[in-house]
Amino acid sequence: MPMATLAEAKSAKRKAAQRLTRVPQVNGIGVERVERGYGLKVNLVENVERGVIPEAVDGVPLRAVVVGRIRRR
Amino acid sequence: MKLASARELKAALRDGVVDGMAEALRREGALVTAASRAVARPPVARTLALGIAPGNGSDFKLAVRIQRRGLEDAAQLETIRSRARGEVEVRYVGRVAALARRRAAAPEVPWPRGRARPLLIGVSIGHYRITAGTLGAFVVLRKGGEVRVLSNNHVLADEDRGKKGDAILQPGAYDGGHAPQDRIGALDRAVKLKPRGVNRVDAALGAVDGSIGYDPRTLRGVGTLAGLAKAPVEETRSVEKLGRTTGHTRGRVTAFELDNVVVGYDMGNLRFDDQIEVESDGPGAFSQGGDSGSLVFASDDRGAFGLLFAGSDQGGASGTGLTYVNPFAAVLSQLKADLLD
Repeated sequence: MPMATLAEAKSAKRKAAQRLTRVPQVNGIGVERVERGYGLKVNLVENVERGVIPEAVDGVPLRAVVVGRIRRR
Repeated sequence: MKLASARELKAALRDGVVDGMAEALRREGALVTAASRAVARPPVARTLALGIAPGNGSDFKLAVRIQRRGLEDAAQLETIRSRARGEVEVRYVGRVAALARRRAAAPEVPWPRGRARPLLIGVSIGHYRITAGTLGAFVVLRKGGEVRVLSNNHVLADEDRGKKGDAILQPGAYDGGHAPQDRIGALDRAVKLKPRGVNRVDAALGAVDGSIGYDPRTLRGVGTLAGLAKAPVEETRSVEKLGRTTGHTRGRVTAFELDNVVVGYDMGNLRFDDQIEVESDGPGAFSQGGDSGSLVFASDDRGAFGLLFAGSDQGGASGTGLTYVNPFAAVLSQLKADLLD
């Protein structure tokens, strides 16, 4: 997958957020550094069915990770 | 009550109130509790012992022994009193140690949980009604120039339940802080937490009493705080923090500009946008309960980077969970303050 710039990742994040905030298991959509450039990181409370979370948005790679629930510390 | 009833009640309360907490503590191997209202703190149970005491004649009472000051008004005690219909004898007994070991060295309290004068970055602190969190940094108000201590709203302002002027304790109540002797100042202002809508920071300031000294730069055991982090978040990889529970830890930024982060509070689930995520760079967690309010600083220049406020139990390279951090610039902007340096 070609390298995404920070600006491309931010733009893809906005688009991803429109789609993914409706998924109840999603608990955070952000930008992460990848080997060469930037990607998207989607945090999940629990696993979702395959296909619910795309592997890329507008060519920007997307990584979904189960982090569980988040509590104040 | 009859002896059999007292035994039954004791067993039920032990199973319902005490054992779950004890198991959690065994797993953690240390005191780990979120900075939260004292009445809601799970480790309260750790410091209660249940037994049976003789009552009048052939009657018996439930015996409750409190091993830490400040727990006399805990919610768990109210539950116990209610279940025992008042037939309960509560006594403060302090720390209990096997007599044979009394002269042996008591486990030393880690410095962040002890009393610190002058005040230091990374020590236990809290509104008088909460357990304990962490003193993050010292700031000056943009208007007026007074010095303030910085931590989270849920540490200094008890999730907006605190009022301006409420006592701030160092160490926090869970670590043995009491008013008035451990009062270091008073709640000044907090960024209100929004139950609906988007939050950016969980932050509050405490005024420092005139007689209390403070050291705004020392990062004990690490070095000296060097102003604000110079690199932007997208170029920052390695960060560190000093916190009340896990002390000095190192981590890596795993995500930034993280939106739609839902964080559980006593007041409900709150949404945060534009947050920073950090994973541990070692075998242990980057943060645990009680580390809230810690200043996160960049490893490259030891510059202030963020304010730690939340965490998960899953995720991260070591599987020890992830930590969530408010960007420091947003914290200062919303509190109308600058880092004291």
